[in-house]
Amino acid sequence: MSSLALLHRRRAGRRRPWTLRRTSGRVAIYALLLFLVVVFIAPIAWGVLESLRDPNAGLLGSLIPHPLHWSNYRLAWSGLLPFAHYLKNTVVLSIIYTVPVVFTSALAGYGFARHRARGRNVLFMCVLATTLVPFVITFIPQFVVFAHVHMVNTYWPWFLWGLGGVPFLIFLFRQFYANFPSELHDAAAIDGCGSLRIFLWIYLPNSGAVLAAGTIVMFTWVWGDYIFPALLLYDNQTTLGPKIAGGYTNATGSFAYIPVTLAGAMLFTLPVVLLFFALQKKLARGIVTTGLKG
Amino acid sequence: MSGIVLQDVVKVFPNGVRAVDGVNLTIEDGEFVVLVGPSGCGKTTLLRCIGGLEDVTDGAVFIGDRDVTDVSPKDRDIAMVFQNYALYPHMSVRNNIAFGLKVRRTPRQEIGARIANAARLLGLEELLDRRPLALSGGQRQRVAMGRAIARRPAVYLMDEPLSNLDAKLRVRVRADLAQLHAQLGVTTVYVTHDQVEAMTLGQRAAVMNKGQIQQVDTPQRLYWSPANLFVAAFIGSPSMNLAEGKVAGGALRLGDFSFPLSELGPDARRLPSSVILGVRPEHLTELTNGASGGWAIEGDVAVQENLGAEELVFFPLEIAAVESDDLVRAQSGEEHAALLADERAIFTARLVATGTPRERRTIKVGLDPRLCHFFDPETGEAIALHAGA
Repeated sequence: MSSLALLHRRRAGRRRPWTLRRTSGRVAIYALLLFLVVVFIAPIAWGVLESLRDPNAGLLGSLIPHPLHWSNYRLAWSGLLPFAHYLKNTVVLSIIYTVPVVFTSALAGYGFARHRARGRNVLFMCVLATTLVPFVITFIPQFVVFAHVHMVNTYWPWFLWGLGGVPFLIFLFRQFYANFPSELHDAAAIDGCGSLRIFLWIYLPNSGAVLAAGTIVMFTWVWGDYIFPALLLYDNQTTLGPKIAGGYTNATGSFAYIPVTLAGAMLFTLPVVLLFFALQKKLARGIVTTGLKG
Repeated sequence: MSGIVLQDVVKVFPNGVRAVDGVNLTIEDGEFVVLVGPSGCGKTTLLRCIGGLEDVTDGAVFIGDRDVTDVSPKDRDIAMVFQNYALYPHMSVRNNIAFGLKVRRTPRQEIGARIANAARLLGLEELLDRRPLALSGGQRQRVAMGRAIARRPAVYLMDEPLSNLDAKLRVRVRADLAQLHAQLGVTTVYVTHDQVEAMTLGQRAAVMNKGQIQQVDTPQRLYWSPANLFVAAFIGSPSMNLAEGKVAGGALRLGDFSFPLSELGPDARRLPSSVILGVRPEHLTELTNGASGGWAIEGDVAVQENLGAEELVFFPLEIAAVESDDLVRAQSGEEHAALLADERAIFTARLVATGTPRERRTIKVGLDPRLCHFFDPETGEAIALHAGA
């Protein structure tokens, strides 16, 4: 073993002493991290606790409710609102939007990353620039158009928005594909694939991480969206977002069951959390280069 | 008929780099041709132009009788082995080999037969269900070969396929490649910067520099009759020793050394007044003390490298080194250049190992005039003196 390696080993083995300065620094870091954890966890914990209170007692009482009213979740699911119906609407709407938006954004990102064409970079900048336009400016004309073609109170607008892609996702995929091993592209081209087939058979199956990230971001956004369903959908077509935000009330609407509303909100959040955990592994994976030299 | 013809092929990249500069090359059907040259000489770009992965700026590419200049890669009937193997990471070895065949809608039974054949040929039977991640470098290289073989194309293109293998494995796979070509007889263009691969694999090798082919010939002729200084310096390891001398009074003067031209015969009259002498390290022989006559030089040994059966001896001479950008490129990676940063000409002799320490001692070596090469200092072109050389 070289003397340099020995030196490194000795250094690695030697423990730094816990001086006052080092201890206080470490305490400060942990205090800050703990504070951040509390900031992020507290609203969720509060929501869970409040969802278990007596529905008629509002938000009053000790921090930890006693007894725990698990029946609030049953009420949230079926007692006051046809939760399952709106859940189905939300799932359908989320899929109708998420699948095309991730696919077309990936396709656009692939085009911007891999296809040489005059004006490509200018066009890419134009796509990114669209994020600067506030949605209210474009929404009113869009609403008028949708009304003219009888798409209000249907899920078509979400599908069409999905087909248009999202600049943020296009950017994400473009960056990912720009670093994708070009040899795989060349190998597929020589094996007989055209551009679209290379995308579908080579790029897309190896885009797990960015697909997972895009899916989580878009699904979470459309799942929790309040504004667009509130503006474009009504009656039985609407989704859980506007319904939960409206709160669970008695038949006349004069009394809001806040604990039940919070139980509904917890149920509403659950699928997104499950989706995140389902895609977590893929999210952690980087670009797949295992077919290249090792 | 699947020979390749390159006619005045030019490739200029959008940033203005002229990577391939008017290449003309005819490769016969079934021939194994190696494109060899230092990094950045344009050999890979030329290969990609043949494969259709780069559009040619000017000129034409023919495969067989077909002009494929504007034909997409998938329609050129070629298969390529990449430096990094480019195996599809999400597919098993079986599917990697089958992929090109599936795309071309080959019948399933035929695909199975070809996979089995390629796997048997390359010893991949046990690995067919593994993913590339679970393979070693040598196994990945064989899978990449298998993918190309199963396609049964008209032409194989290989872009430094052995460069990521360790030295021992490289020797083995090199032999396998030569054997495969002998069995399959398919036209092959092989790119490498390793002259040992070029010399051992190629039926002919094209030495490239600055986007141009310097010489296309059999490995033997590249070694024995280099067309110019670049080829002379590039082919052979260690590089050919070069020194500029003057012809006067019936002798060639190299610094303080004088070589009688009478030993070159009547051809010596064709030498210009100024000439670059080239002699390969393995053509220098050590002269024992007291030996005299003939062509001989001596110098103090700066470095001695023992290679086992042989040893390399580096000794500077009191002569200015022959310098040009081309030579620097051709000799890049040479050990002695790094060991001895010197403005003097550093000569290298490859001698039989005796185990005697030589450093800081004077060595006297003899040159066989028939094994010497002569180049015009102005043009760098070889001056042929010996019939058959």
